Order: sequence, then C-alpha cells, then structure tokens
Amino acid sequence: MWGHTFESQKCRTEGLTPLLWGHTFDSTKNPNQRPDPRSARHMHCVDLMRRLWAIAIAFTLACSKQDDSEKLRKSIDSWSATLQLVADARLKNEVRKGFALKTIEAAVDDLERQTAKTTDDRATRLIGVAAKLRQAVEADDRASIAKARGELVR
Amino acid sequence: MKKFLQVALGVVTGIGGFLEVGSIATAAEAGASFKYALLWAIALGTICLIFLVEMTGRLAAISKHAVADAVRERLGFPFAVIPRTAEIIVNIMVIGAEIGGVCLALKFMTGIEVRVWAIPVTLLIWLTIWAGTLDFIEDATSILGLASIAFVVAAVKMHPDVHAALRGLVPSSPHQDAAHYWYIAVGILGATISPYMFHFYGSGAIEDKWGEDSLGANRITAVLGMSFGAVMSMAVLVCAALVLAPRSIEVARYEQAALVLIPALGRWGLPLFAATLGVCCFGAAMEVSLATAYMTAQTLGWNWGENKKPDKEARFAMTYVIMLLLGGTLLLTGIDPLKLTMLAMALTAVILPLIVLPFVLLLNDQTYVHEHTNGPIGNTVVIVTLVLASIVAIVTIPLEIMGGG
Amino acid sequence: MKAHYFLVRDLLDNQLVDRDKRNLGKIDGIALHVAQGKQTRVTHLESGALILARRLGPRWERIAAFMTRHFGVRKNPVFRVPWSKVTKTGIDIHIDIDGVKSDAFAWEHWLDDHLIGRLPLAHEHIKED
Repeated sequence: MWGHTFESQKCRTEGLTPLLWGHTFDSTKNPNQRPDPRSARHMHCVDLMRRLWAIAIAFTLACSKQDDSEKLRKSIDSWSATLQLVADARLKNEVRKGFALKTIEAAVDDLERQTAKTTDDRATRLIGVAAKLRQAVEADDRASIAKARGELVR
Repeated sequence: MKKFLQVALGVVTGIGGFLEVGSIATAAEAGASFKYALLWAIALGTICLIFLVEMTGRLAAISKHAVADAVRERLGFPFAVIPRTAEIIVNIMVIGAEIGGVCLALKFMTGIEVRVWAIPVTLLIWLTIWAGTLDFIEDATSILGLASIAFVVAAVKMHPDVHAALRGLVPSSPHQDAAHYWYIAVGILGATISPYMFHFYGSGAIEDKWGEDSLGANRITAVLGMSFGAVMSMAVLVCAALVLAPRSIEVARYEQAALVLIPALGRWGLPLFAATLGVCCFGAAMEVSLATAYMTAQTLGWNWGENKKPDKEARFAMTYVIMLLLGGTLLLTGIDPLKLTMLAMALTAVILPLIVLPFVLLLNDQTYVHEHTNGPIGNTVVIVTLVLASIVAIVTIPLEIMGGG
Repeated sequence: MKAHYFLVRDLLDNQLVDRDKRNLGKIDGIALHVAQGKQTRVTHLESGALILARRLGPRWERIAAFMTRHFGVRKNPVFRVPWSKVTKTGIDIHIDIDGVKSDAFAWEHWLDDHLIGRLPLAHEHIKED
C-alpha cells in the first residue's frame, strides 16, 4: 500500500466502489522506493532542527550552572538545618528513631558523595557532628542529642 | 442520585489522584528553593490539564474511542508509534518511581530499606489490578488519598503570607539560580500534564459506559477534580515554603520533603506524610500501569478492559504485568526514586508536544465528536498548550543538565 | 455501507470488530488487486505485526519477519479478511467473523494457555465475563 501512487479512478470490489482520490498509480514503480533525501521538504526539516538545537544550546549557555563548591556550600547549610529539625523533632518524640537515623544516614551519604569531588572543612565537620548525633539517637540519649544539635548551630 | 455520585467520585478521584511521587517532590522543591514564586507553574499546568482532561472525556463519551485509539486511526501508525513508544519508556520509569514512593513511605514508618519493600509492593499493586475492578481501584485510592488534605490543614495552621502566595500565581523571573528555577517549573508542568492521565481517564470513561448525557458530569469532574487536586499540590508547596525555605533546606532527598508537616502537625506530621505518599503513589502506580496497557491495546487493536477477567484479554493483562515487572526491577537496581521521578518528568516534558497535538485535530473532527467539537476557547487553550509544550520540550534537556541535581 | 471510501482515511488503521463486537486488531494494511487496463480492486484487509513493520521500513520488516518466523504462534503471520466479510464501516470496521476461532486471537489463546491463565485468580468471577 505505501510507496505506491494511484491514478484517480474508481475501483470496484464486489458491489462496493472504493474511490481513490488525488493519487496517481504506476505499477512499475518500486514499492520500497524511499523519498529523495535531498528534497526541499527534507532540507527544510533538517534546517529547522538545527535552529531548534541552536536555541537549546544558547539557552543552556545563558543559564549558568552552579560550580561544585557553591553547590557544596548550599548542601552543607541545607543538611545542617535538616539535622537540626530532625534533632528537635526527635527530642519532642515527633519522629521515630528509625526515621531520624535514616535522615542522618542520607545526610552523611550525600555529603560524602559531594566531598569526593570538592573538599570543604565545614563538610568534614558536619559529617563528624552527624556521626555524634547518630550515636546519640541510637542510644536514645536526649542530652547527647541536644548537645549534638547545639554543635550543628555553630 | 447516580449522576451526583458519579460526579462526586470523579472529584474525589481528582483530589486523591493528583498527588504522586513526582508532584510532591517538585512542589516541595519549588517551595523550598523559591518559596511561593512557582505557584503559577502549578496553576498553569492545571488549567491546561483541565481542558485536556475534559476533551479526553468528551472524546470517549461521544466516539466510544479513547485517545490512543483515535490517534492511530486519524493520524496513522507511523505517527502514533513515536509518542506511544516514548510513553512506554517513560512510564517504566514512572512506575518504578511510584513503587519507590510507596517503598519510601514504608521506609519512613518502619526504617526498612526501599529495596526490601520493592517486591512485596509490586506484587500487591499487581494483585489489586488483577483481582479488582476499575471502580474499586478508583474509589479506594481516591478515598484513602484524601489523607492529602493534611497538607492543606498544615498550610493553614502555619499562617502563610496570603498576599505573597497570590503574587506567586503570577509568572515571574527569578533573581538567582535561573536554571534551577526553570528546571523546577518544567518539572512541575511535566508532573501536572501527565500523558498517562488522559489514557486512564478516557479508558475509564469508556469502561463506565459514558454517553452524551455524561458530558456535564465530565466537565464538572475535570474542573473541580483537577482544581481540588491542584490545591493539594499548592498546599505542599506552601508547607515547604514555610518550613524548608526559611531554614535553607533543599530537597536533595525525600527525607527532607517528609519534614514539611512536622512543625504544624507534630507527632501526626510524619505518619500523615507517609500515608499520603504511600496511598497516592500506590494509586498512581496502578493508574500508570493500566494506562500503558490501555494505550498499547488501543493502538494495536486488542481487546481491553480492567473490568474484564484477565484470561479474556490476555494481551492487555500481560502488558500491565510486564510494565510492573520492569518498573519494580528498575527499583531493585538501587536507583533513588527521587532522581528517577525527576528524570521521568523531564522526558515527559520532551514528548508532550506529540501528546497534545492530536487534541487539536481529534476534538475538531465531527467524525469523532459529532456536534460537540471544541469552541474557540478550547481550541485557543489547546494551541497555547501545544506552543508551551513545544518550548518546554526544547529547553528540558539543557535545563536537566544545567539546573538539575 | 458507503459507496465510496478514502482508503487511508476510512479504512487504514481503523479497528476491526468481529460479529460479537470483539476487537480483532487494527487494519494494518489493505491488499489491492491491480491489473493493466482493469479497475483496481480492494481484495483483503490485513492485520499483523509484519504488515505494521513494513510500514515503518525494510529494517523493521526484516526484524518482524525474523520474530514471527521463530516466535510466532499464528498459522499465518498476516491475518487477512476478505472484503466480502465487511458488514459495516465507520470509525470501526465490522466483519462477519467469529474472532475467537480466527487467527487474530492466536496470541490471546497462547498467552491464556501458557502464562496469564496459569496465574491465580485469572478466571475468577470478581470481574465481568
């Protein structure tokens, strides 16, 4: 069916008459023949795609990306505040021990992954305080949780 | 009475079905990073969604054909195969992310890791689809999904700055982190205008045997249901703006998003967050699996129907089984559900123009919708959505590189 | 039924429905009888992965041919419906065939016998028949 062209002519089939409009038929044409890739329409599409990609690349360059050290700095502030919130919630028994431990684990995991690319003393210190907080939560030692929370603020 | 129940359930479906792992994550990240500044993205996505969902329902009610069916018939297989194949690939990721969302909720409550929960959760989702009917699936997840009202309660309790929130409904340019801002905006649009919703909604309408007399209920369901759902999503953003943003907490992991209800709701905060996340993601996983099966069956002309016994439409059943298997397997690789959902939403945004384009043609074709074609407002909204989707599709991949995690 | 059809718009890619309103697949291809000096005739409507793949290109057709040769369950990889069996046209094309007994349902039966039907609750009465 595809790749053929048909002449405008009536076709009869057992009492029904499918009518083919606007096509010309040539049974000698190769049914698998592909359109000429150098046709004007094809080139127009290629040109359009090139322009769209140029816009995308220009947009990419216009939006500057944070560098790794800036990203780490924000991450340290974010996880420090997260651990403070979790410590406060644990002290008020608003979160389970398991959740507090998993959050501390996530913090340490994320910070260690980032410090593999960029070193930062604050990150190393925060990982250390997180370890203390983790021990305090595991031991259900409220005084130690409060102390570790205090260290997070500094 | 029956019509009232139909509408009520449809509205409830919109509330319970709107939130899922992607929309919660993007709304929380939006609120944490930019306070109320991205409320406009949720509003804009919802307006587009309302119109597209109403059109989907109208097409199904009048023509008794769903979108995938009609796209193949009207635009041919060589066109249809492109968005359908892309959707299958994206949906595998989405199903993995939604199963991951359920597993995360269970992890928050039990401390047991996500990977341990992956297989039992996948099996439970499969069993619910396998043995349940469409009504049961819709009703159960909708009613349980009302737990998401906790976000509205928490937001109100924390007394947000209403004027600032209203200003957030107006699109604005960010003062800093432009790439991250637009990356989240695109993510919100991708999470809101999800192609699977059209397949699920339209196919559900056909299974429920909607007719011309259902057009009014369809309109109310689309408007009220999606609007209420958007309110839930905005409530998540407001909670994050009030809890996370002042503390400069970014949502790098879902554990951070889970903190948003604690200051307002105390001991109930985390369980309600986990309940909402778990139920909404469970429902979404079923919806996406079924939507993929509907879409595939309709494109290839198979028998289909969630209300039919699996042995009566084996290929349809096999499709959602395979999708669940692949999604569950993806999760077993240890990939972070949050990263998976962000990637899935970015890819959804890339294929969105091909999903929206057929609406322009089908809803103006009297062969399908008879005299119920789009009016000028409907056509304008669809064309604007198409232009928006095209812009989003071009910038998504660069933004993913520049503004993503 | 209509007297005139646009083959692509009215037939190609439309749904085939059997006499019991079961879906039998889409019309993936249309077979024409072409003879010099005579009217071209539609002889069959065709459905099947091989026909679909042919529409995407020769490489896809070769892959589909390999797959149907080694993994196919149909007696004939192409399901052909004579035009004489068409009873009604429109968005769907209705044909006077019992789909369950036809080759169009071969994969349904195979999956039911070997996989789906063996899973628990596949035949249970919670759902419709």
